[in-house]
Amino acid sequence: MQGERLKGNLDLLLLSVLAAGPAHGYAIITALRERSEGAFDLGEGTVYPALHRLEAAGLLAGEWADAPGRRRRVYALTSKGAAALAAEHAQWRRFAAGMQAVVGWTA
Amino acid sequence: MTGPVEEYLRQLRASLRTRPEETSRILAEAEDHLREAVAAGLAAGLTETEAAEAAIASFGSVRAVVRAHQTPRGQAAAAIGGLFMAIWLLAGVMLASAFAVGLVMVVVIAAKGPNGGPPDPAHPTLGGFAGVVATCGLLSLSLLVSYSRTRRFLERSRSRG
Repeated sequence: MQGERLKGNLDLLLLSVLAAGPAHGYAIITALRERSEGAFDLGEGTVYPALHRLEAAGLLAGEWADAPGRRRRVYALTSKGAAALAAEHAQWRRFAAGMQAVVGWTA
Repeated sequence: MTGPVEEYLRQLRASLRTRPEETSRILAEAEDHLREAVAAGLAAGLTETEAAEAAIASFGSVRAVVRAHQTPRGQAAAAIGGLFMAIWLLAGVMLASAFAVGLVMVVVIAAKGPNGGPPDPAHPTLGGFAGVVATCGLLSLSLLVSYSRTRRFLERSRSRG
């Protein structure tokens, strides 16, 4: 999945990954890649603006932690973020079920 | 030691057009990310250089990362700022050219002044003309100096952080 379609769903993807517990950027992006089995091919550096935006919107809480010889920002889902995830997830389920009913798995 | 990762971070720092505190945050996260990706590459058996290059390739080009961090408002502000600076420079250069042309004219007129016949009443006197030329010169000088200072100031404030 590429480009605009991925961008439009990035917030839901990031919130879903963080539902498993707090994580820093690299861990979030690695989880995204592994769980999607490589289907989401995106410039890793372009995920950070989305994390910053979600934090500014109050859906994530960011905190600096110490990594060996450098700083690392760890993100956690806030209660507002958890509510947004539940709402987006319900919408996504409806959308995916509708798509699948019409399009099916095979062409 | 300056490897590809250091060079990438240096370029990113120089290219980001974000507020200083945001720039330092972006750079800290990029550094942490790249170092971890390099460590993962080394663990997977790549050489130091291969691991660094793979980490940078996955992270994305400096251009793409800079663009991703720019809000639409930031992009508009950068465009307006660039236009303003361009007009500033253009005004300075045009006044400087006017000064240069005027200076040559003053010198030529002054040189053939004694045997140039009676003064032409339709044209301003040489003294008045020289005054306008000198004003152009001073104005262009102040515009160009303030332009280069502003530019330097903007570049310094961008790369701080």
